[in-house]
Amino acid sequence: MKREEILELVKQYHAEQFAEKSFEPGKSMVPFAGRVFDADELVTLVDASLDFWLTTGRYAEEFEAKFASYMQQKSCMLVNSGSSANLVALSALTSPLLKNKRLKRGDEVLTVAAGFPTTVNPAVQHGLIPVFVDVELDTFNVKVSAIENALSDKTKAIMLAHTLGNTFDLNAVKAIADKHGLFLIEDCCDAVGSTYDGKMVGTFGDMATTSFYPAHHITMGEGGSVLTSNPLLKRIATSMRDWGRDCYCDPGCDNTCGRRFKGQYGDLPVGYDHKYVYSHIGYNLKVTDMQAAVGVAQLKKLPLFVELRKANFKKLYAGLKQYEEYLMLPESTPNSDPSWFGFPFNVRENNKFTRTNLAEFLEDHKILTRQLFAGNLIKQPAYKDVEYRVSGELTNTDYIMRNTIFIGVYPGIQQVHMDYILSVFGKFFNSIH
Amino acid sequence: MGTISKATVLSVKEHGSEIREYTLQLEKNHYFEAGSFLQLTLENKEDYTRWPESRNFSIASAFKADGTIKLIIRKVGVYTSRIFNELIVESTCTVKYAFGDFLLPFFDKKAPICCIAGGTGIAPILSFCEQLVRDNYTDRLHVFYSFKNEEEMQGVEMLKSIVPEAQLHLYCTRQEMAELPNRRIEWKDIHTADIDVTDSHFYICGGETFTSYFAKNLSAVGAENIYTDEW
Repeated sequence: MKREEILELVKQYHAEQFAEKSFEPGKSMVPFAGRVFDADELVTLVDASLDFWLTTGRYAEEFEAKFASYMQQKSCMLVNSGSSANLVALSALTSPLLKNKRLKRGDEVLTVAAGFPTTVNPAVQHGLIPVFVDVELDTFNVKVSAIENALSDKTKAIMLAHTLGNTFDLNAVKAIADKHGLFLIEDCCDAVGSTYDGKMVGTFGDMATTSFYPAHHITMGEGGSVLTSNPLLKRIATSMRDWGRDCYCDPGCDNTCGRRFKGQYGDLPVGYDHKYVYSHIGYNLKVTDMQAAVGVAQLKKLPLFVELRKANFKKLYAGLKQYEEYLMLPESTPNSDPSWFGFPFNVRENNKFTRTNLAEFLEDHKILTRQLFAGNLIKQPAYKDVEYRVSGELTNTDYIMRNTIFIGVYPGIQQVHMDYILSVFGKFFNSIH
Repeated sequence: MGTISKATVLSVKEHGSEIREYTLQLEKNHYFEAGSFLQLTLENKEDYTRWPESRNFSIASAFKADGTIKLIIRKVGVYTSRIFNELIVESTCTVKYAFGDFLLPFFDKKAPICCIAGGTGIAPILSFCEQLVRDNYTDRLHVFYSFKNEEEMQGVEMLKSIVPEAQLHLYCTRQEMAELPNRRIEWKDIHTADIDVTDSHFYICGGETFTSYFAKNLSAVGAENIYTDEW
C-alpha cells in the first residue's frame, strides 16, 4: 500500500469521525479553550508515524524553523510542554557557561504570584528565591512601579508571564532589567501572537517560552518551546533539554563535531566518548516527531487563530461592557496588541452576587469558566514550605484570587456561541435585579 | 535541530590544485551563526533516516537572506577527492547545518576579537568578518593569518578592507611575498601585539598542532576566552 493511499483514507476518516456538530444552546458545551483542527493535522500525524523515525525528525526541523521565524527569533527548541520550556529556560541561566552571570542558589528571581505555578516553580527547584510583587487589576500583569523597590543585590533575573495573552509593560520591564543587568525570561505560553510596539512577545527578553497544550493558541497535544536569539543560551538550553549532554548531535547522528574520541572534559580520561560527556545537570524533555507533525499543520492556521481570538475578545468586551457596574473588564496593556488566551474579568465585590455565583450560573448553562490559575501562589498548599520573599502588599493579587474568572475566546467559539454566551450573561444580570 | 537541505553548486573557484572555494545555493535557508559548520554529503538525501557518510566544513560566510553560503574545501583524502570530482557547477549535494560552538561573543560587545588562522582555517574567520561588518564591530577585530603561498590565500582582499591595518597580520610560509613575513605565525607575534590578553576573545582555527600551540601559550599568560576549531 502506498503512503498516499493511507493518507487519503485518513482524510476520509477525518470527514466521518470529526464532522462538525451543530450547536445546541444550553446543551452543547462552550469550552474556555480547545483543539481546533481539520484533516491536515491527522494527515501529518499519520505521515510522521509512517516514517517511524519517532524521535525529532523532519517535522521537528520544519516546525522549529518556521515557528522561530513567526516569533521573530533566531532559534526555537521544541520541548514536551510549556512548563518544561520554563524549566529549561530558567535552568539555562544557572549554567557555568555563563560564568559570572550565572544564577546561583540563593539568588532572587522577580516574578508575580497571580499566575500559573510553573512560571515560578523552576526558580524554587533550583534553590533560587522567588520575589513576588503585586499586579494591576485591569491588565492582570506586574505592577511596574513595584519592581524597583523589590530588587536587592541578590536579584539576578525577572521571569514573568504575559497574563492570558495580555503583554506586561515590556518597555518598562526591559529597561529595569537592562539597568540592573538582570536576565529577562518572557513566559509567552498564553501569548503566542501577541505583539508589543509591533514586535512579537518573547523578542524583548533573553529567552521566551511557549506552550502547545491543547488549550493553547496552537497544539501538538503535549508540547512547548524555548525561543532565543542568543546562540549561547540556545546551546545551553538544548543541553538542558537533552540530558545535560555536551554533545550536540541530532537524534540518530553520531560524531557531528568530529571530536567524539578526541577531547578531554572535566576529570574524565582523554578521549572519553563525547556522546556521554555531560556539561549540565539536565533533563530529557524532548518531543516526538509525531507531536511536531501536528504542530506543523497547526502553525499554518496560527495567523487566522490569532485574528479570531482578537475578534472574539472584542465581541465579548462590547457585549459585557453594559455590566461594568458589576464586572471590571480587562484592559490591553498600552502599546500592545494581545492575542488573548481567554477573556478575564473581575467580579466587583458587591452585595448581590459573588464570583462563585456567576461562575456556577455560567457552568450550569454549559459555559466553562476558569479562575486565574493559582490565584495567589503563596496561598497554595505547595508553597507552604517554600522560601520566597514578598515585596510590598499583594492586595490586587488577593483580589484576583477572590474575584477573577475567565471565559473562552478560542477560535472554536463562533458567532452562535458568542450570542449564546452574551444571552446567558443577560439572563444572569436580569435575575439579580 | 539541524536543517537538512539540498544545495546546488553556483560557482567553484580554484585556489591552486588542492583548495577550492564553493558557493552553494541552499534550498532551505535557515538562520545560522557566523562560525558555524555544516555536514556535507554527496548523496541527495531527502528522507529523514540515518545520516550517510559526510564531511564537516566551516561555513565561510555569514547568513544571507538569499540562501547562498561559501565553503573552503581542501582536498585531503578520498572523500574530499570525490567532492572535487563530483561537485561541479549546477550539481547538487545535501548539507545538514548549522552546528558548533566556535561563535562570536554573546554578551561582550566591546573586548577585542583576536582570530588566529592557518590555511583553510580562515573559513570561519571570514564569516566572523562578514558578521562584524553587519554589526559595525570591525574595530574590535585582530587577525593573524598564515597561508602557504599566494595561490592558496583566501579572502585577503576582504580582510584588508575591513580589519584595521595595524590589526591585520599576514604570513606566507612557502613563498616570498612583498611586505609579508616568510614564516609561520609564532607565539611572540601574538604576545607582543597590542592586545589585552585577559580581556580579549581568542579564536584559533587550524590543524591540531597549530591550535594547541596557541591555546597553551595563551592559557599560560592568563587568557580566559579561548575558542578553538580544529580540522
